[in-house]
Amino acid sequence: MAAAELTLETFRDPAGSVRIVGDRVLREVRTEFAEPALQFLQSPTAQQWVSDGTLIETRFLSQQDGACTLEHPRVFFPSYPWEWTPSAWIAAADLTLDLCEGLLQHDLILKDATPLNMLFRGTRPVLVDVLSIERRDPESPLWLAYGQFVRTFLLPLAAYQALGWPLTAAIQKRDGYEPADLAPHLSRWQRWREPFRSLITLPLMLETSGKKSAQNTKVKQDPAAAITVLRRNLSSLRKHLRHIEQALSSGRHASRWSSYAQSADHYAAEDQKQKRRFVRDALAAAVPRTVLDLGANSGVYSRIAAESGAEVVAWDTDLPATEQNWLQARKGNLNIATLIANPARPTPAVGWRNAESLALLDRSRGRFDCVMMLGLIHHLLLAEQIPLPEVIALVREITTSWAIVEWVPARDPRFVDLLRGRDALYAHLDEAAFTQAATSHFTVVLREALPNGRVLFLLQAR
Amino acid sequence: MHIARRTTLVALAFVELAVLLAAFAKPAYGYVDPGSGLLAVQVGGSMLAGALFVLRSKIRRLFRISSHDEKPDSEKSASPEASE
Repeated sequence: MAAAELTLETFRDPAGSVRIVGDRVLREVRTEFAEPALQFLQSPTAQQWVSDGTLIETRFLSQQDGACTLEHPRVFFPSYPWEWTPSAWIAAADLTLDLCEGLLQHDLILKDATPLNMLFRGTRPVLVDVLSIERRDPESPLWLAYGQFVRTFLLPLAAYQALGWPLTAAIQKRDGYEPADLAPHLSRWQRWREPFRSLITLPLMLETSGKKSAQNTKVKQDPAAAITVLRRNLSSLRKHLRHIEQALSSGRHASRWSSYAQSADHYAAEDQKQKRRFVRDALAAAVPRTVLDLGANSGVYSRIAAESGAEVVAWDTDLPATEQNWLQARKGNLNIATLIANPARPTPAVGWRNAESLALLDRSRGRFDCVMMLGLIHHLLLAEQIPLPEVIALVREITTSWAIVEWVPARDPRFVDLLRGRDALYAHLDEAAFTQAATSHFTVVLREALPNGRVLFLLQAR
Repeated sequence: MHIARRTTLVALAFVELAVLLAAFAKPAYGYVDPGSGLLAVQVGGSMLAGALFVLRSKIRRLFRISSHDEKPDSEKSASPEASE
């Protein structure tokens, strides 16, 4: 299936707009507002950041009448903050502060600081909004994006850590949380402890009218003092981030899925070994460059695919399991992008006219050489109640060539758990039904039954 | 006399409470810039840090000058500045 022709336009920055047409990412820039950014992009520091992978590559295409066109490479699979794990949020926040600090020595600064300016290549964040770079006033000790950084990075992370508010809620909060959003939900004790004292309690006590706050932005200091104080302001944000990260890692909780690979009692060691071998063999036969691991859990098979040389995107609905996958991929420097995502309830398109960020399936159709769906099909069939031909049709829409699928038979303990007494209703679900549905879109290339009754298939698209 | 003093104290306590309440009164939310609190924290911190920076530089300069002044004559004549 051919890759979907995507069109996407972002335009909230008056200095320019971005259009994604198919595989091309074109940025129209009003030169008068973007001159410092354009100059910086040609500097050795920018080149270094590009080669480090922290700043998106930029090519100058044309320039006329006070406007110019730039082209960026398309990041293979864009993901949005509402699909990230907490560690991905922290990595994006750290990079925002790193780049902002790095820009100061060039008398530049980031004019905005939101996770929406970042995309991920594997587990590595990259700044894609190059127009975010602007000249700084050498006499100002303030970072005007300080508040935005707090609202869009620190408060969502702190709310997740302290109150359990899901990070997925970022889909409805483009500009993050205000201190007043969190304050009523914190105990008095929490309000006066860091990071809430500096991020919520004091700001709430000091809120003034918009006119007064506009005057506040005009604070001037001697340039030597201003840059020292500005660095201190950035490092105070970093301190808050570390504080939240520490609290998150000490309270990192397991879910019933995060230790699933180790504790799955329906899988004997031999079954696991055979399944891993089958997946390795199937990947060796298919040689996919890009793999989507549906229901990736903690990423055992994502890592096998990444180690085979593929660029992997891993979806799962379980946050602790996906966080584990992210941490392992980061540790092993593996090319795996993890997303909190559900094929049965895919992330919708959001923003102005529903066209500022792409729906999950619009980003996925025809983008992968291979889709892996291991230990997931019974959840889609029985828990999500998706008909078998629909499941196969979705896999076919996403993959250009291959699918590795695990069929779970009706006698499997997990199948029985999910059946919840609806035996008659789902009595038609057997391997023959699966093969019939699969062969309407695919050819069976490999088939292997495991001793526990589950059956593994390598399917090739017709 | 005693009762009058107590009444005055109670009245004063009420006045104090009213002043405190007025000091912490919040304007209606619609008239408040929700971003202003975070900005005020940054501005306050920056002004304080700026003042400390200036103070520290002045103290450093003072110490540098005084340590320069305290150098013995023999050392002064050995330094290139002094010989110029």
